[in-house]
Amino acid sequence: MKPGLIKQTLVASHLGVAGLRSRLWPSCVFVVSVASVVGVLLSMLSLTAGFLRMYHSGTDPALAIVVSANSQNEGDSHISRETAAVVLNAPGIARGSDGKPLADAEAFGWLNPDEASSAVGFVIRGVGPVGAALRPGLKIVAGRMFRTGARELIVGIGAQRVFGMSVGQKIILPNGDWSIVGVYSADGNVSESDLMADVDTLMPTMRISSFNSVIARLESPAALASFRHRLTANPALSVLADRQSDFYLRTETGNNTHFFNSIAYLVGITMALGALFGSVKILYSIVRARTREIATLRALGYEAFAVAASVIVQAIALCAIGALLGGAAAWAIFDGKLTWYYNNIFNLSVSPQLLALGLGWAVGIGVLGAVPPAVRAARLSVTDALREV
Amino acid sequence: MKYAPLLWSALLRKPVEALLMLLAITAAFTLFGIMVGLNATYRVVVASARMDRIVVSQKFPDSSPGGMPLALGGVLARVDGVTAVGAEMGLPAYYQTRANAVTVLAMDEGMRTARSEIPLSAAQWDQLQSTPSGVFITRANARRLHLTQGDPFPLVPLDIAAVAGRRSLEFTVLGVMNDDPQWDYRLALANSRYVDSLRSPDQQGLVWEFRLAVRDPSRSGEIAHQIDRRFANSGTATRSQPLRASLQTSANFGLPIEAVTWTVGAAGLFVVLLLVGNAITESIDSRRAEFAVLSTIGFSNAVVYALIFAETLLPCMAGAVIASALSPRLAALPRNLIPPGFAGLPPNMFRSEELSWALVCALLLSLIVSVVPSLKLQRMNVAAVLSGR
Repeated sequence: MKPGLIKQTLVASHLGVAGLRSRLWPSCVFVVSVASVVGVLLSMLSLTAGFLRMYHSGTDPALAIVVSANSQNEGDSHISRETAAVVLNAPGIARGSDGKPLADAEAFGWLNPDEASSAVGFVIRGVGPVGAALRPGLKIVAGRMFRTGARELIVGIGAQRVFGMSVGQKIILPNGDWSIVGVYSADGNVSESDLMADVDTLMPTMRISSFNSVIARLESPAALASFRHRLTANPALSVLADRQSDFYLRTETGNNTHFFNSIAYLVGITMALGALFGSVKILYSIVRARTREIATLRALGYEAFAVAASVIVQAIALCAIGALLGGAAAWAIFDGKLTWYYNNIFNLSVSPQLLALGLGWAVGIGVLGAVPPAVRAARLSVTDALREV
Repeated sequence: MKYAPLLWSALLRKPVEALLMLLAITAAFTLFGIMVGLNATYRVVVASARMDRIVVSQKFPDSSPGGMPLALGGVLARVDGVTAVGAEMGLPAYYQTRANAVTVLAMDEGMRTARSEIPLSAAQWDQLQSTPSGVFITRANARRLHLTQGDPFPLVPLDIAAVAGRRSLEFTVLGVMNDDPQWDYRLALANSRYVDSLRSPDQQGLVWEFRLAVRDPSRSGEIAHQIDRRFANSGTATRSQPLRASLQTSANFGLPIEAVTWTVGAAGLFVVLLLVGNAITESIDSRRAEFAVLSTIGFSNAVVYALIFAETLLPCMAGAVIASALSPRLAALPRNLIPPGFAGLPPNMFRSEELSWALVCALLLSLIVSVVPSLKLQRMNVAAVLSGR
């Protein structure tokens, strides 16, 4: 690009952007249209962003999960006590200060709520003696931890806030009343949607005969490969091992996030098309209003490219303002808002990545929408345009 | 009709920009139509649930993974107010690939009365009971899997242990039944005795759910409570809900479907309101001389308003009609991505409702958008405009 051309483009763009003040109403319509598109798109994507953040939060790369082979998810997995005993003593698992492996066999059951509750249901997870140690983000924020062997539960802060469970409340399980004795938080992790209890007390209560998984803290994140190899090479075992965070992301989020993202993008694309066609029309009228200015610039020797580029810069400026407004509105209204989907309770998230996506989306609309008017501006015959002066 | 040439010339003054506006309006109404369709689908699914039906399931599903004893049905039949009891059990499976999820739902003879809303004729019920390996599938499923009456329908079970190690379940398509809002389109209706015989011995004689028909719909809630109290301390604690309440909880899984769909639809209409308002205002402003002449030759304010209203209404109505044809097709796109845990969305059957809403909104939009330009024209200084000032 010739140096003179760059300067011409800058000057023409500056004139174009400065001239928007004289066309305030169409510019506002343009900005608000783009802001609406970005706002709606980001608000819908905040659902999957929050859902995924829930599975990323409070994770530890050194935690591995062992489930039965061929299970589609942790709920499908069945690990016998004999298998669990072998896995718990497998090499590669870190040891606590007492020399015992930092690993637990865990099981969970499903509780259908009372009719008065709006919940679909709850997961009650039975954890072993080192369950809390395997979850360093877990903190008791009210009440106390449950006692081993007692009919006691602790409830995640998500379930407590959304469904109103509180310390002292009784939950009816097959063998009678269990008491909620504490509330825990877990750095926004998915486990905040659950209830927890002692696994050895829970399993006979819920008539669960096998564990769902073994959770183990490895000596290091890099030890996963050798840990997995030792388990899968053992002909007596039929298990698979994976990093806990990766396993949950793969088995619990895939279908749901694809579905909700597809809805969000279907809505976003449809709205963007509407804004795109509308913005092309508005930019055509802006170019028409700038005929005198464009004619003067062309008569002074400005290249057609510089004029065309100024139209695109104008559009990008308007779209960027729209994106900022839409993103700010989506963030203000939805970011951090607590919601629930099935048995997962999480906060909606309008993250910086989403805001950047919104800006890119808006700039894309602006660039695509500005091309036809920019071409028209570049093709304006100087003599015809000057006649209109 | 005498004003038609005026109207036509106004619309086609700038044909490219008129087309762009039509496309923008169509996009916005397409989004609106998709949202109205989704909202209507949700409401119809819930509203179609009969008030005189109760769903009885296990309160603690893990205590007996195969389900509740079939004999429980006899006890439920003797509950005061209950007129019929049907039992159902199922097998999750897939046809050829995992993407073709199918759930075989086996229903006993009692469902003929307790779930009489299933779209099967008496002859088809007889055929189902007399043909052990026969199944009925929905029209949507038949299209999805390219199956017709008489086709073999081999399925691969998801839980091999539940079917005593069988890797294939052999069925035959007996026929195709109509789609229904309450009926997950991926279900295949099967013979309960045959399906029970396929299951592993420890799960035979167990059912997933009972469906009760009650004499007095107003007593559904009371009867449901009565059943749960009766079995609260038994080995099979139940969770009973009137069918409509059960569907309301499960249809949205915690997401405010109605609020989301109306908000997004309104956002789309808001964008088109701004774009059309801007377009009409610009068009009227550029034709002030024309309207001054019309005023001079005796056109009343009412006629001028009617012309402006018609100029706005025609593209809005055209866009609304085109969008009502497009939106059901677009709404079907995410269907293949519906997660397995969702009930299958029924085919979009609500074109008349979408069209009605779209036409009403187009009319209202045109009325609103026409007001400001008309008022500006009423205050116009005709002499000044005619003299070119």
